[in-house]
Amino acid sequence: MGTIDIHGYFGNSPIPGQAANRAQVSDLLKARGVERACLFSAHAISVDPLAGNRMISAITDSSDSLYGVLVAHTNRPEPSIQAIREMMGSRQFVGLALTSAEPDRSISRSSAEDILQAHRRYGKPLFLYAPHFQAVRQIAEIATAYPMLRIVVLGMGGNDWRQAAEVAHRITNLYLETSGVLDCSKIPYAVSQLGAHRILFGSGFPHTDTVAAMGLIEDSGLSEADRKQILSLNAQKLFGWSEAVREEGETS
Amino acid sequence: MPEIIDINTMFGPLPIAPSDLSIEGLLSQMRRHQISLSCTISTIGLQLDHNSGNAATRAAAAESKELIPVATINPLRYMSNDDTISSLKTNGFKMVRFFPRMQGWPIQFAPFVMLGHGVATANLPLMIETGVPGAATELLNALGDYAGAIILTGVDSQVLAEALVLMTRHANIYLETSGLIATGAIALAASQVGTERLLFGSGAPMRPVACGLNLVRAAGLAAEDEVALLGGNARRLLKL
Repeated sequence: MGTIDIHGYFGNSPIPGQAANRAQVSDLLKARGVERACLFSAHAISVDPLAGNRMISAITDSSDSLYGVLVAHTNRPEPSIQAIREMMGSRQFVGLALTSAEPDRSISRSSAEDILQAHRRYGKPLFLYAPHFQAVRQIAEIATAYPMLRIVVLGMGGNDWRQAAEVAHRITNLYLETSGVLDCSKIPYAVSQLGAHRILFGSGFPHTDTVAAMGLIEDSGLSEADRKQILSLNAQKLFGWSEAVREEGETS
Repeated sequence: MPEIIDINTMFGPLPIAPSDLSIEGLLSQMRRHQISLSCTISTIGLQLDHNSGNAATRAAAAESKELIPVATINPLRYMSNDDTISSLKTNGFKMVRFFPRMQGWPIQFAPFVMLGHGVATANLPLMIETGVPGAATELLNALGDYAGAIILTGVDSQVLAEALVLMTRHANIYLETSGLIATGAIALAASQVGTERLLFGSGAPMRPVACGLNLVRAAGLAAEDEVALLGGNARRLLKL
């Protein structure tokens, strides 16, 4: 399987007319050499969790390349839990992202409790935003309280990526996603701390174009095997796609 | 293979970054990506003292011919009316950069306005960070009827609309590309103001050169426009 971008947005592109419908998203990913991508709904983040996630459900429906990450809002628990119950069972949704009214603020364990309880039965990963170290610390608290939950740290702590990698080294149910600052030293340092097996490629497209994020991996100086893990294999494993690929291979 | 000139690089100690920016790291990235020239500046000039920084930049450029020296002056520390800017040109500097956000001075600031006009008189391009909403507008208001070339840097999707409006009004404004990381941003800028007003910059060695180069190559530009953006425009504007 080729590159998997686990972090992209549908809707509210900073440049008008980009990734605005299913065909545009598919064309964009194809042009960038991305085989599969996970979409977060900008509408769910900024306006309405239920309606936004339903849009993602519709555009990923029966697609082999587009998957969704269901977005839940900590201060809109009822529609968020309704969306989880309605859509999280679908194979098109690979996990749950938690956000709040102020995306730059950390999400505390107490504010997320009800939503996490609703989500845990599905056994799918949790995605949490980490624009700074304070957020990483809160994520570490959630990860420690829910050791069976695999948590993807989106943005790798922003400028605090060094500390994020050190925290992820200690807490083994944390996975680092590569978006955030484009710093040459970030990925090599993260690999030196926790190995390549818990680092996942994500860009945050269309806010950061996938090719810019790929440049971070290209210039990282990592081995071909480590790059392959980050760009594809780790996501396959996290989302259970490697088993599906193996089963397809065995039946054909 | 088009010539590539990178107009946005730095070297030196940088405590705010997780690692220092070595000249070796910069040269290594240039070789890997076949970049023929990089316009560079010492971090000492923006962090500590512009005279020491400019001396370090000159020394680095004297040592490595693929490095083009870029000067800086901190308006907070500029206490004289001497011929500093004309001497920068005499000493081989090809451009002067300003860092209002990093150094903590407002753009509506008399020493900067005076220095800015001195840069225009010396016929050197002026490159300035305008990454927060309103900064570029304030810049044009502060400089008034400015005759020289101005290169905006740090322009991302949050302030791109502002930059493009100003660029359509003022033909002497250019845009450095390292902030244009959103999908479609370079193509949009090219379609609105023309590729002749865009200059390739990477932010190396802190930022991987591949990030910026990939974006230009994925922008869907015509071959001749890509050549201009990657190097031709810089060669013309900086008289290289």
